[in-house]
Amino acid sequence: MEAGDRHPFPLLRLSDDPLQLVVLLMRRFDQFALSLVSKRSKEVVKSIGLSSRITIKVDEEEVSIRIHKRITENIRCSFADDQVAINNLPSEMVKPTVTSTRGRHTFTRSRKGYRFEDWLSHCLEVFHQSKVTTVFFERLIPHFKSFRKTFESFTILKIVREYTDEEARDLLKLFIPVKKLYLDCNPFTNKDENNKLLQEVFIQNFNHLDLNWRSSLAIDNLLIMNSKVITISSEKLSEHVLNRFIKHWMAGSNPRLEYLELSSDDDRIINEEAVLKGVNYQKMPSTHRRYLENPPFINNPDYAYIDGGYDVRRADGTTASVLFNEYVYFVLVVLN
Amino acid sequence: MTSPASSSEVKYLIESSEGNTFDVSGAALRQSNTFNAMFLNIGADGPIPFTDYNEATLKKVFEYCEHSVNEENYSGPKHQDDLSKWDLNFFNEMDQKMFIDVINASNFLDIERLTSYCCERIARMLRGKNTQEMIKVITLPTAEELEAKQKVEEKKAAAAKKVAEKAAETAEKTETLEELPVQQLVQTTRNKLTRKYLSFSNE
Repeated sequence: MEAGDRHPFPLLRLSDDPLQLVVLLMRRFDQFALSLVSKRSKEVVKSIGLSSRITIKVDEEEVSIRIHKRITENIRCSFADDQVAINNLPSEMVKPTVTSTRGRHTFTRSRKGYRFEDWLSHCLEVFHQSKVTTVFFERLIPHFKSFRKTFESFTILKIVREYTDEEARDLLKLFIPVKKLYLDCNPFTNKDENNKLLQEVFIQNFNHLDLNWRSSLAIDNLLIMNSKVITISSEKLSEHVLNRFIKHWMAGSNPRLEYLELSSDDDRIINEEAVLKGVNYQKMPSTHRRYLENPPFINNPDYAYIDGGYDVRRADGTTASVLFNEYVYFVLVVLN
Repeated sequence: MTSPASSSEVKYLIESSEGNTFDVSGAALRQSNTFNAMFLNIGADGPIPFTDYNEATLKKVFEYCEHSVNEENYSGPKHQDDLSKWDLNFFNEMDQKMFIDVINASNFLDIERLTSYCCERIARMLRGKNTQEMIKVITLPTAEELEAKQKVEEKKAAAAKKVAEKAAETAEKTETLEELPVQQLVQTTRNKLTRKYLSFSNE
């Protein structure tokens, strides 16, 4: 049998073991294409135990289901806006374009009985995921309320542009609760930091709140945040604000906080003495290294360590270490 | 004539589905993990019955084994571009039916190198094909064919059991067979193979 043999090959009639081997040796895009051939082929692809994160991205041009391999995106199933609302179109009209990451291979296909939610379920099933990892919004689609019904829970919501206050409120209301919220901008048109809609977001109990703010952030907003991990990239906060934050934390504010990280492109040097003015702290020598098991950091490492730092303590005995650096200019890690 | 294998000169008799027998060198047979698990240390009393496969298929499989006797230990699938001229000829001269029979026999005998080359060849045939093209390339089995396949799998399991029983009988005579059931040994080697591919695939 020659490699370029044009005769139909009865792949699915092979014994189970060699059939699985063939699928294991196929490339990820080919495995996915095979999973769409028939119920039997889907079961075969499922049987080899592939695992890939699944995300949904609403960008300027399309809505796509993205299948990742390690950290990079591997396969994209792209849908037009009118194809992603629940029960909006018959399945024959739902024809996503399936593309491999490098754009080497692409095909467009409808599948009998498959609407957007069925395509998503197919991806989750074939790649052994119980839910979507991340939903990205770069724009608002016309039927986003109906779109929300096409999938259940997911872990991360990422919003990368602003909307009208009403749209942003509806969007957040529909897509929260979520474990992690990443805001690449203040999504509200009303940039007033006392905007109640914004504050309603901050007080939510996220596991991780990530703000990529271009503007500054008021101390009051920092103090109402109720997330375990808070990472903020913004204009540098003043020493006075940081000082007030430490004192408030010692007095009991942000009780769920485990890790706060502030970073900035601003190259102004933070005056550590001014930040710690009036704070009862213990300076640890820089040679003093402490290991943290399963630290609450973004990439879920098994452990991390901190060298030195300024230890501050709350009345209930909770201790945190305050660290200063250059780009990440302020870190508060709760130690116990 | 069969005996415990220790050198390449030792020959074993193989029995095919037609009831025909032919001999294969111990060195070639030792590429079969199934054989190693069942007969290597104990020898076989009479022809080894691989009666689920016809003579032509078995001869083809062992032709490959004889050829690769002196090749270095198998360490995972080889890129098809790296195959030797002999390997390419070996695959090219088979028609599709023989190719499938060889895969199935090689899989049963658990000959890692041959099974992987065959499977890689098929995977390569499907490379870059979209779903519609795949539907054309891989003829989908009908319900009857699926039923027939199920029967074949059952028949194979029964045959494996028969081989295992025969091996156990031989073991009783030689009193050298380890306690592990042969079916389990076959499954263990298969699992090992699958794990090898799984780790390869995820790299």
